[in-house]
Amino acid sequence: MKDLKKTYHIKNCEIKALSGINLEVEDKSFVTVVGRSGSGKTTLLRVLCGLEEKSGGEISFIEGNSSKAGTKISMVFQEPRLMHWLTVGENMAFSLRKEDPDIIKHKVDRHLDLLGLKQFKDAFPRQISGGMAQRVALGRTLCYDPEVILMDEPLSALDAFTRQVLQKEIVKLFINQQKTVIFVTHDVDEAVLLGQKAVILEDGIIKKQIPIELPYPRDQAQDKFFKYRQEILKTIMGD
Amino acid sequence: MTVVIQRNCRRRIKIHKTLKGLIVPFAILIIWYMLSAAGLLNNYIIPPPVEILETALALLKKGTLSKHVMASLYRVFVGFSAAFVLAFPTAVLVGMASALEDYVNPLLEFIRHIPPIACIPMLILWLGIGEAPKIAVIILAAFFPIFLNTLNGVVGCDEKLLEVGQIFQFTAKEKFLKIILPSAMPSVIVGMRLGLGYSWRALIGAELIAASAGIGYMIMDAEQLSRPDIIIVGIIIIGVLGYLIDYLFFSLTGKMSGVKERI
Repeated sequence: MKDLKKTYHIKNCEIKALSGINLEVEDKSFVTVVGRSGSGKTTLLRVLCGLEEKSGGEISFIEGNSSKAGTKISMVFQEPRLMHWLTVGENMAFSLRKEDPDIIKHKVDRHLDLLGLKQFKDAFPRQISGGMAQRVALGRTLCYDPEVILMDEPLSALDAFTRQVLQKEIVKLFINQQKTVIFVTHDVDEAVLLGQKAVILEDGIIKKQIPIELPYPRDQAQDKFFKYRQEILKTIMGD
Repeated sequence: MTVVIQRNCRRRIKIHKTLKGLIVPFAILIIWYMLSAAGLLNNYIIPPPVEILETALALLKKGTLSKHVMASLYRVFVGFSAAFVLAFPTAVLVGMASALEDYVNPLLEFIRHIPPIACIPMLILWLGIGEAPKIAVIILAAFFPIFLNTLNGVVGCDEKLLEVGQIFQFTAKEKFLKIILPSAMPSVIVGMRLGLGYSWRALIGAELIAASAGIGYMIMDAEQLSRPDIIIVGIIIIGVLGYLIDYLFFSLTGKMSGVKERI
């Protein structure tokens, strides 16, 4: 991302949501974006996946030394956004519309198994818990098999226990599937727990980038974990 | 096991509900019967229930009742189908191309407030006294509930679900078929149910004015022959048929679209 900008025009007011983001995300890396509400985290993801038009700057995907077109990007939203008229299995297959039915079935079954949703394959979204629904949303994205996964506070609406379980699952999936992940959160612990690099956003610009050099799975009781956490907090609070 | 228990429980609740719904009609019947037997009702104006039953059976035996019922059902079927064929695509078109709404809304609002019955004289002048004006009245009656509810369903599709389609690179056609249409289905079905009810009502009105067959005609004819028993049979048949059609329609569409529980 080079000098990425996004400005909203509301009535006669100009609101700069992103004021020049310069960020390099390495292939198959896990980046967490953390910041206060209104710092531009969600806008950044929405611009990256094309849900919002950028007002300026450049987004490029580079493979080797040349830029690569048609990179498959997907997003997991804050809410599961499942199709309520489809079953869990059908929701997982939602993005797979041009593939052979046998391949679709195989992909869905594999991801249902991976996310522990096999027995809920025929359940409707209203019949499963919030945590499970978010897992289905994650499964839907994984079935799509994107190169880049954007996650917009996908665990923020869940209870602490479910969130912990899903955090572990996301780490496991990242290690096994080797995707590029950009994960937005306002939870500093989550940012340290998941990311290989924490990007701190404030008022639409990057305030600091902190590489987190801790092996997975991470232990929140570790001294190093605490130090990273403090560093991010200090940056956000401006101390 | 739990599913079976839940299903049995649901069935029992349904039976209880049906039985509760039968109490008031039965009470009315008994009171009606007792008042007639006590001579408190003028049998010429309100014949006793037994006489109504006998008349209904006699009309059934002669084939008169089935002839009129079939004529009315045929008109409802044709008129309602035509209304759906016209209203559904129009609503989808207007809903998808929001710019169109400004052009067609005033005209549609104007027509919506005209009762279909008020158009019968004009329709007879234009279309003659055959089946066409009656079917046209049904189309007018059923068009707006189907149109407005479908439009609401299409326009009200959750923007967040559409974003999911956008993320997965859906084309406009895919977005419509896989997101907008299924999410609008409950509204479409509500519109169809209302349209069916309205078309049934409008049909009877049309048959009362200009027809040579149909339940409305049977009632009108009975009035001229001073046969209140046939009039009451006609009224009861209208209610029962309306109820049955609605029930059948709801069961069928509910099974097809899985929206029964959500309406």
